Amino acid sequence: MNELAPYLKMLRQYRGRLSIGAVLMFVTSASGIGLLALSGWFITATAVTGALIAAGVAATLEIYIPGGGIRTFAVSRTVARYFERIFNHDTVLQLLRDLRGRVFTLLSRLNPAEMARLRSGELLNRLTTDIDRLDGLYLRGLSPPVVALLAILLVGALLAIGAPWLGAVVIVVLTLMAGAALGIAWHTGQQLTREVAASSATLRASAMDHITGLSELTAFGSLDYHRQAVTEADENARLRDERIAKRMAYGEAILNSGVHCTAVLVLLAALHLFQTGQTSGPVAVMMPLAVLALLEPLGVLPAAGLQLARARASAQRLSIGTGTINDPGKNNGTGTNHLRRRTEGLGGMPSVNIDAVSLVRGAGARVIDNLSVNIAAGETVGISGISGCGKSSIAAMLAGQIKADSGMITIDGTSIDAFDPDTLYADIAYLTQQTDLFSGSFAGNLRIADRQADEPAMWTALARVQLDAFVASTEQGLHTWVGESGMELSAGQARRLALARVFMRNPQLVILDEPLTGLDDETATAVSANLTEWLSARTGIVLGHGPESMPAVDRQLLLRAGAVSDAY
Amino acid sequence: MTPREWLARQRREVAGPLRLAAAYGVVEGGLIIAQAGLIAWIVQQVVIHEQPLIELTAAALILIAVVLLRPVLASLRSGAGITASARVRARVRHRLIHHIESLGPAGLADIGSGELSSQLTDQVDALEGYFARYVPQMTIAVIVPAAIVAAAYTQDWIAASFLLISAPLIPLFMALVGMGAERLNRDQFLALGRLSGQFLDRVRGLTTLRLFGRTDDAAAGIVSGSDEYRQRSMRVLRVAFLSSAVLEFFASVAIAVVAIYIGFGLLGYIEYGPSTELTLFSGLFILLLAPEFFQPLRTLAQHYHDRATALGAAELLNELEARPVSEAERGERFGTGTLSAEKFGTGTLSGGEKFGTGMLWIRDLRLDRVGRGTILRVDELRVDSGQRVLIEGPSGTGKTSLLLAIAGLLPAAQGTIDRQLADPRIGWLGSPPFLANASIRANIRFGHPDAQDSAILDAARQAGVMEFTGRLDEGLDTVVGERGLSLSAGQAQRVALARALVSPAPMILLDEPTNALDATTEAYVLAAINTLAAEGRVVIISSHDAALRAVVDHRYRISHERLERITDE
Repeated sequence: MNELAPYLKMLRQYRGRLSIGAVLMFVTSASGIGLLALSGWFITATAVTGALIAAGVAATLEIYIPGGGIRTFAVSRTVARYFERIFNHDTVLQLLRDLRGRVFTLLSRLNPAEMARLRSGELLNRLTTDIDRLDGLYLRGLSPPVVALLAILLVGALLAIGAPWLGAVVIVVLTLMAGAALGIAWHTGQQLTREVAASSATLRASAMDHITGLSELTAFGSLDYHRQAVTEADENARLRDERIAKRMAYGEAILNSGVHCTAVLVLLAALHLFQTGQTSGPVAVMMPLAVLALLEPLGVLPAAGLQLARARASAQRLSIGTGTINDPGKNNGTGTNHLRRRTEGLGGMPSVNIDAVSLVRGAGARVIDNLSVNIAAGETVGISGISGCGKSSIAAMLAGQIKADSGMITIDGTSIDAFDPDTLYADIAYLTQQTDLFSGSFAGNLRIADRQADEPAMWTALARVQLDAFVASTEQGLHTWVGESGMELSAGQARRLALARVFMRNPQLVILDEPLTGLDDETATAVSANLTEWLSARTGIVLGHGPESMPAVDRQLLLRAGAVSDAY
Repeated sequence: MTPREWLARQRREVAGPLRLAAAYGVVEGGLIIAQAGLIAWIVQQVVIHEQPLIELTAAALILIAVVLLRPVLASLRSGAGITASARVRARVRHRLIHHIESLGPAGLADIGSGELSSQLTDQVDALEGYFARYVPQMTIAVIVPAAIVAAAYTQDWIAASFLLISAPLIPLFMALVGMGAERLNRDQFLALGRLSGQFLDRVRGLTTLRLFGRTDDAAAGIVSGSDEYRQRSMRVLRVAFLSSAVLEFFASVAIAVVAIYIGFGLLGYIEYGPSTELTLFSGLFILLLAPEFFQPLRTLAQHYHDRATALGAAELLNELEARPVSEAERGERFGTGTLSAEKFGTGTLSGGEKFGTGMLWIRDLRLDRVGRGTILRVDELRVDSGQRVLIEGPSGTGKTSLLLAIAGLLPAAQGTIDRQLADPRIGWLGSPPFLANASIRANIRFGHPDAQDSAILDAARQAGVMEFTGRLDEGLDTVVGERGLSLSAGQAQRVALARALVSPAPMILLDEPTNALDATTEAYVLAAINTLAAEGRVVIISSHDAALRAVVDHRYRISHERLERITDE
């Protein structure tokens, strides 16, 4: 349960709400038990009295209190259920809000290497599912056992009216039964959840391979061969799915049957008590009916066990690095470097020195091989090379996103490792190769660069990337929603929006990774001219396919096989 | 086909197990009635007729047997439903894979591979609950309540009428409440989509946010966005939960009304119709059945979201399945009867030993791409076995499309592509090279699934794969790709080269093979091109890399959407 500890701790601040929610759940169950038990008592009592009257015996039965009780329970069950659902869903959504915020903060403290792993891995695919599992931890995992236990105690108390010993026995038997159901579901759930996750990840990967490799596999005539792998993964994944679903169904059926058996045995015991004069007929009938009403609160226990197991697996996946959602500050993403970091910003245009830097990837391939480049303060250097040759790695190293395997990079005379990252980021602008846009308005996307930016500033930046006319033509202008569930931007438009964001800053050092990708020639020329002008007052490094794909620079270098030459 | 029709068609394919699941559910309903009857009868005998319990042993044993039989039937019902659902998913997935294969890369160009693989996995799995639970329950929810009412009717038609009257009211009220909720729900759905999208793209864009120093603001934005969503959701849920409250209400009130009616009847307060004949047996029997009458409907309501999920998935899957496969594409796939020996070309320049003689002969070819119109015309292109041809031109001019057409992966709009080769297989080196999530050995084997292990080792050595696998603990069995070791561009290209070398394909197509390579890998690529040609294969390379010019026999260039021979030099 260790992985769940931070989430349980988080629940603690909701103690009040959670208790009210559990009480409402219990009131619902208790009303159900009351309704059925009282109805059984009432019918039997009336039947007995009716039989006496028919036999000419003067008998009376107070009917208004039980009748009113039955009506009250019927209404209170409905009302309690309705408010319980509303109230608990509100709690769950509050938890969801907190969890998202905390998980995001936790992720934002990851160091760049961990971040890269996060982006490429399966974690991102599952992130929202995992968070949903955890926000449902209380409602679907923790509260059902508590409510079930309270309901069992209530039924035990009702049985004690007839025979205290029977109440005690039933409490023990049902608690053991419910506990076993929960425990078994938790244990098998853990094992099967892991297996299901692994097998469905394999299926996903092989399906993805089949799609991305369609050209190769078709051409080589190996489609059938690879399809076997997909089919195998599919069968495997389905088998595990089936197994977990069937086990849960069987578990539920057996638990239900256990409650039914208990009810039948209680019935026989109660009738025996009635015949030996130890209890009245109506009470004897009320007893098994009260047990039958437990089907509802107990029936959800196997699902609750599975839910707990799944929540634990989700928590495990989310425990990245060493931080926890309660204290994300622990993992500040700066590695093991204990040196005092430079927290003083770049005073002016910095010089940049790349000294004998090498970067090793995969199985020992040198992506960057003993690279040395010196960039003077205020100079703009262009580095070109075909895609994949390591340009983006240079950019990422300069921005401190990945670490060189050997050699040193200094900015303004300070080694990049000795900078406080946020200090450095404040003075540099780094346009990554990948365009990161955020679902939100144009304005929202631009304000990422400058929170306080006013509209004229945004229009100026948009004009520099030739996007002003387009934004103005949209229905809501700067407030038009782009991205997910909003307006689709073309790759070129997205790129220009990302560039506009860079233009909104006033950095000393600029790193542009393929700034003009996706732009048509005419726009590229215009944007390029604006970039050249803007770069003249800053130190700059621009990376691209070739000189034609970047603004005018002071010096052009060619990167090939991990090293540079002054090719142009 | 609408999503509903699509689902109905899938249902028909597993009609057997679905009917079986429903049948088990109905038998289970019968046991429920029997259990209620037995309990009521035993109580009647003991409490009213004061019969000793010991004389009721037989009835008690039957009751226990009934109770023990119920989980068996419940398990059988769930099991049959789960089996049906698994079978549907297997069939749909199988069909989709075949459909995707026949659409080919050209037919799928406008769908992202991520989206496609999510349809193949998540969307197919989204059908699970509908077939496993919802469909069988639809039958059960009609038959079992009807049987229960019939059983109650035999005892007291007034009490049975209470149940009967409330039943049709339930869907009516639910529909009324549901209609209001529907519109709210749609807005809600949009809000949820936006919120999840916002969260995920902020996580994806964390690097950018960090660079701009905005992670704290983004975290605050996520919290406030989620809170806004919560308030909006609660407005929807307050209405949406009303529909389930209606069901609850009827279930509770029916029990209460039945109990009070029976109680008053037993006391002799009601002197109308069958009420005078009520006994403890009939009263208790009806009371026990009342909650069971609503239970199947409540279960159905619980599974209602399974239906909504399945309909959503059906819409996407139906759309994918409805994508037409062009006939030309089907026919093209493995060449047009070029297997027969008499069609073999004659005059070859360099006689190959392993691959015989043959040629690729393209005449009057026109290639169109959806949304782009005609992208390339080829008057004539003839490549004989053993020849190496380079196709030059800036990116985006149709080099890759031409290779796709030669490989039969893109149907020609006009003209002929005559592959007079001994084997329909074609070696393809894409850009970037394709690496499956499998071992390096398995990745090479895609070139020739039946290859001997020694042939794979030879190819790996020749392509320079062994050079880096030697440093790996598991050597050629190291798993690569997203879930394994990530290879550099050069290493990936070497694996792809080995794949081509091991392949028996008489024609090898290389798309930008020297992109992003280190000097050593480039040397391997150039050597492999020569080897492939010397073995007597047709080798066609598309690239704008001048370094390749030295190793080819002929060069072509694409300019103004036309392929032309370069004859200078």
